[in-house]
Amino acid sequence: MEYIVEGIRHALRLIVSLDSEIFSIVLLSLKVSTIATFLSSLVGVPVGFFIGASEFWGKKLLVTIFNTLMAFPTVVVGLLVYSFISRQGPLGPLGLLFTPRAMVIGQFILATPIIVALTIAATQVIDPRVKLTAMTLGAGPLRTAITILSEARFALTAGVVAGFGRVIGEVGCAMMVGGNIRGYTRTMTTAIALETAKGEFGFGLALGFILLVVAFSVNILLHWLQSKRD
Amino acid sequence: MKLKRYLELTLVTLFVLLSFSFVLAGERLRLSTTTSTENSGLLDVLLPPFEKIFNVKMDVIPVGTGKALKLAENGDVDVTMVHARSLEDKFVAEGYGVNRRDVMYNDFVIIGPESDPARVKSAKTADEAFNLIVRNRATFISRGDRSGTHLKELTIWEKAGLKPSGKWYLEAGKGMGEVLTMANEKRAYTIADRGTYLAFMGGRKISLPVIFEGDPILFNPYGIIAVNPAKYPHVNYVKAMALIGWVTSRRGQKIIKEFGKDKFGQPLFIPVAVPNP
Amino acid sequence: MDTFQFEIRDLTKVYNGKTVLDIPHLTIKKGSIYGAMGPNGSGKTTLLSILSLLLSPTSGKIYFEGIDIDEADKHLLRQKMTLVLQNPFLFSTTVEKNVAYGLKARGIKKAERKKRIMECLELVGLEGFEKRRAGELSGGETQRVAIARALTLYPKVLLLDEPTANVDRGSVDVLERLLKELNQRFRITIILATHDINQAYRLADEVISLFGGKIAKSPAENLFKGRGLREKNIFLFDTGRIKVAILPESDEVSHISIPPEAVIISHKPISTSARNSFSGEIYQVADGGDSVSLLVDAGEKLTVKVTKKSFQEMRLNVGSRVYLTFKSSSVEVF
Repeated sequence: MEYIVEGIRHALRLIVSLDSEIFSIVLLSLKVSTIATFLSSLVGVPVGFFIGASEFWGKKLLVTIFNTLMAFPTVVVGLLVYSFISRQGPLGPLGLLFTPRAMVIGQFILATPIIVALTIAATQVIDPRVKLTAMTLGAGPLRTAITILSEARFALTAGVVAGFGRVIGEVGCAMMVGGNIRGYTRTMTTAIALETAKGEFGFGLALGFILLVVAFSVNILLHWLQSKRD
Repeated sequence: MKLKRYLELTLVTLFVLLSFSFVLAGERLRLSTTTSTENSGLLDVLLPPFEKIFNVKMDVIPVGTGKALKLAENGDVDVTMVHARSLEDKFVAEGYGVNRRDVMYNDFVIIGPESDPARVKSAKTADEAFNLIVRNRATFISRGDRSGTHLKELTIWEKAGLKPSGKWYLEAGKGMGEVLTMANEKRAYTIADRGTYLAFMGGRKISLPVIFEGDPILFNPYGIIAVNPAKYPHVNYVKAMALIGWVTSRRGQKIIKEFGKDKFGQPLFIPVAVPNP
Repeated sequence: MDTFQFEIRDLTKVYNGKTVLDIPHLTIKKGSIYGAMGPNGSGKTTLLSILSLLLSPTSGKIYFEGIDIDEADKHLLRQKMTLVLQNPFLFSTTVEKNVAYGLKARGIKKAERKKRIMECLELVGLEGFEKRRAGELSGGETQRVAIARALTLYPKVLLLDEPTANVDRGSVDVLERLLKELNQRFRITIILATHDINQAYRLADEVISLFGGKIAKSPAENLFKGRGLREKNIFLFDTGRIKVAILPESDEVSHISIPPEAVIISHKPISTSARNSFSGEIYQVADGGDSVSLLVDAGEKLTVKVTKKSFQEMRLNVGSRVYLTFKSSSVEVF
């Protein structure tokens, strides 16, 4: 119990003192997760839209697959990516292992199923009159698609936020493909894992607290931006 | 609306800049080592001078012994430093590593509850201590993760001719720090490297005294090995050799000798590469 | 003679094996207002959808200003007409952005867009509503925004599906006047589907009656005005003179039509499950080709059709006292 109080005190001390190592850890977490989520959205939203808006044989199966992938254990994804980018693997020569880029790749794989699945759901509950109205007003297929997505913007934002939440808080994949190298691939989550293993529960909680604050701030920013969209 | 546009533009620019800041600066050398080595803090003192002199950035990947060697086997690192002699020899024999050097050693200690229910204090050798634990079915926490510590533990069981199993023998599958915490919670016996043990005692995270120490079998030698460039031409062999040279040099060995004195009153490691650093 | 706005030949539309539209021939003149009238399910909405090129017919040909639509660029043709749905959908944004949608889709520049938006909002009587949010509007305002949105594209044809069905009383007037003005001022061909007979006759230059997917030669027969009411568990329609049993209806019923073919005529009351049974006197007999039309006064004046054979076998004539029986399910409600 004292860990928690100690943790919050420690966190405040760290933030106030602008500890540079903490700063670089937080910055790295943000960089990696933001870029991964962005790329996931870039791919996931159109894919989710296509699947959601079309009818084809096997659609239900595909939706189920994406829903299942959402719960994919992070360590397993880490193992899979590792096997590809390790020297032994097909992408070995690219030298991606133990770099922030590898972490972005891993987190991209983690976030995309979430964004796809939630975009599919968002698209399917959209009033069918949207498409009809857009068409009667002369909108082509691309404009109609954008209009539908715009009508679904609340649900879509929720999807992106969910994707971001999943990756900023994951440790299994980041640890596996990043290597937790101090100053280079150490994120908030891998640092927490390290400190906790060292028995430094207070410090671990401090970092955890900071992680929550960061995630909270990003969410607020995302929602504010989306509300401005009107 | 103008404000919105401006904000978006700023964010996009920031974003683009951020994604490019992953560019590496300078040459990098990758070392895989064990978590206990990294946790001891030795590398934080030993490596920076090397980085400066040789103008190279060290990427230290702290994992379990098995994984550290696996990474080296796969050519994912340039050099590895672990403390599991038999595995290291196998590693070199199979052609994955070259130029193995002894660096230092620390020792393991058997710790346990103050009350010492198994009367381990009375043992003369490590295997005798283990024998007592088995006979008394005293709770014992094992690393269970094929780490250097774990392998050492298994060597002692083998010497004692025993195969530990039962409710009292808990295989944690975790790192040293976590195992220490667990032993502390359960007031159990366990075997730990002195370095991590001292760090935890100093930090008041645990309160288990040393019950047995000193048997030579408990000595824990560290070796450093470069990944074989013939097998993996891409490895930074030159800098790997430079690192090996550094840790076995007079200056490097002196740093190792001094480490821990101010924090724990006793050094954590004993250098072996140079007679009197 | 100028080409027709629309000409339809041998049009059918089949859904799940059911024929919902069957129109051998129909012409729509340019610049007129047409009312497509009929009870729910008579095919009005389907007809509008097909005319606005949103739906393809199962068979048949449609000509728009003389051009066969199958051979034309549908996308281009669609730009000349707009359909306003019964429950028009407004995008979740401001009125201005809604009205601008079609213009943006056509790449019209900002200055011209602003001009047309103001123009059209003024036309529908919603000046100043630009910044209002779509979700805050009343039913009538929503309809008018939808119409304004359609008008910005200067369509030649405006199709409306039940434009005043979901609109408050006060706005019905406004809307009807608007439609009349659009037609007179801009010569826009207007086709509106409605179940309100009075509205159809008020607004339209010509009325198309639809019944079961087909065009009725004359307006629905045995048409009565009145109101629906409920006695115990039975739904009735009170014309003022007789009470007719109808199927449960959730909407407000203002008119009913009893198809002459559904009425069984007999000398004595017959015991069936049919709920409606009235006695009356035949006051007129007319030859209807291979059938005979009988006009019966049963409180209300009803037209009944029988075969020549039945007419002779039953020895029916003017003055005969008869019983009229028909099921509540055969009564068409509007």
